[in-house]
Amino acid sequence: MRGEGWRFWLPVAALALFAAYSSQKLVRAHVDPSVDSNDYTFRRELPGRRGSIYDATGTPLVKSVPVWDYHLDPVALTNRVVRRRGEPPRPRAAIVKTIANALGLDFRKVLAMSEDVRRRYQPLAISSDPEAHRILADSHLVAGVSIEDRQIREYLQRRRLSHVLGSVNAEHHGSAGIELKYDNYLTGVPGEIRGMKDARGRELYDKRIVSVDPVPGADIYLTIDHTLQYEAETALAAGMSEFQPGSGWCVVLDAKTAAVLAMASLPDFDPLCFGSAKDSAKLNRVTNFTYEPGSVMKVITAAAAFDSGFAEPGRMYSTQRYDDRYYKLPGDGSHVWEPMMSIKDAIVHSSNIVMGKLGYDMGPQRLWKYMKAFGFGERTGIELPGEEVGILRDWKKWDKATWSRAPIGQGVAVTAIQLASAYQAIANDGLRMRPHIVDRIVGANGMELYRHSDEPIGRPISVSAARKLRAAMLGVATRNGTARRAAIRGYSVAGKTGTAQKSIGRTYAPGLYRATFCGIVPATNPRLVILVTLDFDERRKFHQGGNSAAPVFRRIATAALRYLMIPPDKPEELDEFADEDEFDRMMDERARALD
Amino acid sequence: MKRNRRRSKKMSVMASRSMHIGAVMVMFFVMVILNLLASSSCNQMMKSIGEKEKTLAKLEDERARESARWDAMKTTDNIDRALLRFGLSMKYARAEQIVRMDSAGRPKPGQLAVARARKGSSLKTSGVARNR
Repeated sequence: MRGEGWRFWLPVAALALFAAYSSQKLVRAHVDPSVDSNDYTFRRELPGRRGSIYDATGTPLVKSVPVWDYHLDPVALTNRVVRRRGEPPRPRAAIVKTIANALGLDFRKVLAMSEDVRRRYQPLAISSDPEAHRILADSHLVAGVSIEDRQIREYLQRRRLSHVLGSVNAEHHGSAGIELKYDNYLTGVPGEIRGMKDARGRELYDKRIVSVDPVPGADIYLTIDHTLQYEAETALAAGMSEFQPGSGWCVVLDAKTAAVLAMASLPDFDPLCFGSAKDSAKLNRVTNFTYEPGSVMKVITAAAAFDSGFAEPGRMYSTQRYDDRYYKLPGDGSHVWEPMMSIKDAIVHSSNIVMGKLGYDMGPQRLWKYMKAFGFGERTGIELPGEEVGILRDWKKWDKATWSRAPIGQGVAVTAIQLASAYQAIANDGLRMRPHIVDRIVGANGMELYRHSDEPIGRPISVSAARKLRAAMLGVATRNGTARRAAIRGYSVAGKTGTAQKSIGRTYAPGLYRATFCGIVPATNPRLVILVTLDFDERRKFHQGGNSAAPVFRRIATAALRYLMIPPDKPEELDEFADEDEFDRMMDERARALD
Repeated sequence: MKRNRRRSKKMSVMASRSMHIGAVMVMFFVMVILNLLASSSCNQMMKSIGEKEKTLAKLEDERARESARWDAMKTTDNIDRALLRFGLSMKYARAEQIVRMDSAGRPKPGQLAVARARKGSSLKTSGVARNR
């Protein structure tokens, strides 16, 4: 027997090999995608949840929520309710009533839908109510209702911040705002299950071949603070209803880091109805809209003069408009009455003549160089889609009119974020930081995929020039300045008004203006840069920056200073005006009397 | 003798073969039974895993829905609306109402609220003295 064992073991080994080979072939056949559609195998995709968007405090702004999508099939509804023994058949009207009550729909509308038997897939509602689902999934109560599991995007703050957050399309991909810009990060990776099923279509759990879990999308944390956003939007909406402009926008920047703390543009849109919103409502006017800034640019002209050593704040200019040395200087209104005026006073009273002369004297090259250094004519790089570049032609192409008008903000076009960014440089002692709105991106496993690090993008002016400029701007929001209504009790405000005529075609439209106020608070230790613009489509009494945009600025700044608990830098004023509203009332009355 | 020897050798070979076959059959049946047992246990486990997977997915969905509902309730607009229902309106504290403390719990110097409080208390004291 010894030495003859192979006669037995050889066929056994051959049989084992054959069995192993067959089983391998069987497994491979199931993994092969070409056999997915047969009667015994199935493939189920597991959706990867889209990432959420949070504000700087970790408060969720946008989330994906699983819901049930209900559709009605009128044909299936007829006499299809599974009856319990002894129960009479439920009439159609009773079934329709159950459906309508569960989903909170109008009974007559659902009844009309149930009678239209030509359409067998009629959308009823999308609901996340588990009680409604329990009723509609009960085949003893309801028939003809198909239920699909879906995910919808829930914009928790509704219309707030709609331009920043954007929207998603029917395929759950971003179509605007952060949703579009960071679609790759937010979109999750779907998982899948492949396996075998029995004759009744039920999964055979022990025959599962592939099981890959879905990977949820990354979460995005913005620099926006939802409370400041609320205050900014509320103040802007109040300003819109008080002064009746066609549109308005505002942005609040951190003076040190250029982080966007709030950004609002009105009119806005409902992110859930993005497709049906008007184009004018979809436009984020802070980043995607360019306009002539007007007098707010005088600060840039003064910055160029102070930094280059061309002039000091005390240098005097004549307010005489007609002077042969200058080409077509813009006129001043009745608010400038002194025959001679310093550059500092020209900022306070917003003198077109003095600033025009100063810009003309400096020459176009120098002014253009500083405008470029402040970031005009190029994108800031903020993480929002569709940012505009603005218009700043090369100084060699400037004609004499541009030469005398660019110093007062005509002949150039900017975006609000560019303007706020330039003021941020002044607030930050000349150091310009890249404006940003995304703080960090965190993957589903908690790993940080991206974190913003503050990025200086240039130093357009020196520390001393920035301080001189802020000191000159301090007078604007005082009893004698153009923006009395921007003054805040207890805090110093360095700002500048702008009332820019709107151009239609090649000419300026009479009576139509864009009113702007851009301010830095507190001026002695800057923490916030706030820009407000109101765009008037019709003639209005209060269309000036100091009378319409400045009060909106004050509302936003007052709320922001209190919310952030920034200590006052003029505490003596708090004693002088003990009544909180007395100061505002006094400034408002003075502003109205001077108008 | 020689024939008998051959015969007995043949019989012993047959006996040995039948023992082998018997052993293989026993082994086969044992393996079949073990396989059936393992398969059944596996099936049970997979069924239970499947059920748990479904329950987990359902609970996760429910948690996501509840969390979104809770988050929506906490928005600034909704809190404001809820307060207004009770006739309440909230404002941020004014600068003079805020007292900043150092790590030791003492108010930081130069604060208006502190100065006012001290002024008020000194006036009160002097008033009391006069009354006396």
